[in-house]
Amino acid sequence: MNRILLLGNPNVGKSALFSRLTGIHVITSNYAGTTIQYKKGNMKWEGRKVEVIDVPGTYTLKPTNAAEEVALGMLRDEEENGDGIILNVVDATNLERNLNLTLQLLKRNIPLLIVLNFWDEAAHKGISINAKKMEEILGIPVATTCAVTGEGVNELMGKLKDAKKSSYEYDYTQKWQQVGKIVDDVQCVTHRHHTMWENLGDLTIQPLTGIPIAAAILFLTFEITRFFGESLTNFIFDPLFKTIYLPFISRLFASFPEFLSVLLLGKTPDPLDSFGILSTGIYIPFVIVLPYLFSFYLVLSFLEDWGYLPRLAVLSDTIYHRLGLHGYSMIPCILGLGCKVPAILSTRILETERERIIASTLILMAAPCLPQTAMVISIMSPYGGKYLVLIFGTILAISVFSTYLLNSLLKGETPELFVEIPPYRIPRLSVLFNKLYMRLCSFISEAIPLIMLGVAILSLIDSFGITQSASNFLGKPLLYILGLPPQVLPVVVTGFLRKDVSIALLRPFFLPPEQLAVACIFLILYSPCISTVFVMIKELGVKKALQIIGIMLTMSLSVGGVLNLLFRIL
Amino acid sequence: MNYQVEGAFNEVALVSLLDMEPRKSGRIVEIRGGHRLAQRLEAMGIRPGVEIIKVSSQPMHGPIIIQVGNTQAALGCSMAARIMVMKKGD
Repeated sequence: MNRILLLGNPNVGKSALFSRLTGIHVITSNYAGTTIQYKKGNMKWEGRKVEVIDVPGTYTLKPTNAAEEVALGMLRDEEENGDGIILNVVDATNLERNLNLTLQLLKRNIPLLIVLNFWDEAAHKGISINAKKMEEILGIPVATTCAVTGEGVNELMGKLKDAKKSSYEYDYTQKWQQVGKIVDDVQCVTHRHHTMWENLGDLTIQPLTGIPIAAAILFLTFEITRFFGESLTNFIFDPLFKTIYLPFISRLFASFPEFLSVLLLGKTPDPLDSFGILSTGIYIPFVIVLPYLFSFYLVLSFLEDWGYLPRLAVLSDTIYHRLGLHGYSMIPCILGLGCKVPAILSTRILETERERIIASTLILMAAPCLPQTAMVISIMSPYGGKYLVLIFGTILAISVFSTYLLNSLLKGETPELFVEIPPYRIPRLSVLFNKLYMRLCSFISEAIPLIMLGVAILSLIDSFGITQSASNFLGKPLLYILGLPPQVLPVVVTGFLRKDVSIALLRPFFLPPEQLAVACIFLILYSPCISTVFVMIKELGVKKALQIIGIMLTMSLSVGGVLNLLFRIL
Repeated sequence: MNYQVEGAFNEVALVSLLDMEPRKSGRIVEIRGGHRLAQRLEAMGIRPGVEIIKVSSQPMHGPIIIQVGNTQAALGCSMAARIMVMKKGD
């Protein structure tokens, strides 16, 4: 045995088990479709290195979406060429439904081992399963685990060597009768009344109570993000930067030649105007963006692990249908409020390519990613809330218009919502903070080098005086259509690298608030950032990616132009 | 092709999941419509013969939430219209 495939229904804890086995942290949540691409890792087993693969969840071996196709492809590949085994992860609280896939796997030509996960939750729900008897009936080993706490994982390791091809015979057309027989033989359910939590949970999906609750949760999400983000910036990160970090690096580089110290520290002491790699380049990601990112992902991770997002999808299904999507598109859209890259990837949970194109357009246009949002708020807040409402309102309206247009232009129809609603689970702090940590780390390691690069390029362009000539020539359209000074052009170019930087770089131009608002809207909409473009090309192909970017550029220029005209007239 | 449970049911007693009142339960008798729909539903354990509870429905042709066994699922209303249910106690 050299490879272990973790296969099972969606949301049964495969990723949590993967983390336990390999020690590699992966994002886990309480909804179907968290894992959309397979993940590989290694574990030590009997002194050898064994590869473990976390496969996206599937209900059946007849795939209905891109994520399920991945699962089937991997199974086939292993069956034909590999020497691996399958760990069929089963949700012990949902034995009957999960056994449907298990029976299909039993027919495949590959050694199998069953893992009954959520063992603690099953006991809590009054469900007891006789694993020994199940082993006898199916002729393969059965382990019981609680992957989140790690309970039972050691015993599972001990059983790995016993994994084998099952000799269990049954008639495929009588599949459910077989499942029923097995369940009757091994499972015993103690009747139990609804708990208070379940009754409360019920309120969140009844329309009369669910819609006000959803509104309250969204409002709270926004307020908590804003409050924590603002407080962290103003009371911790900004003072730390200004009283400790800035004096420290200023002293450190004081004796450097002027050219270098300008490049590193900038020309002015204000970290937002200076353009230094170590001043502005650090201030933007750590002082302005990171606090908001921290508080947003804190709230989002809580909602994910609690199990609220699929319910929100149900409540918003009707609205999404007008745009040619179904409610589950809500999940990629919410992820997109943080960062567009995971959001575009997660459109794989949608069934058709048409939906993925529409959803990607909506994700990219409906709202900026969190670093941009934080920058826009920070740069516009001196001028009052009305400009913020104008910017975010315009963008949302444009995205709805564009998506609506796409929906009527693209052939095909909107599939209906069909998803599992997970039970509410109390989020575990360790899992939640681990996820938060991973998301912040990926921002720090992927975004910060690009932010610094952007600042460096701009600073170099500035010091070599290229700005003037290039801007005068290429910046003319900006001047005529958007009414922005041609010097803004380099900002647009760097914006392609990191869009939050481009917005920050508007500050030194001292534009009046109307122009600043037009510039913000244009910069948010004109194109996705470079990382997102790569993901779009990978997921949708060059042609579709360019088409979406084309829509964005057209919309940004026309809306910016119209706004500019309106401001001039009024 | 229809997926019917053994035995004859009186057509009058059948009601689609869409028309059933929320918080009522029944037994799925038939899934009307394509093979693909029946297959998708079956993969999640929603098939003729099982007990089903309609948990809630959303206004303006929104999705229906159902419970089969310990699984809750949301499905669009035209899917729900094709799932025929024999109400309990009728």
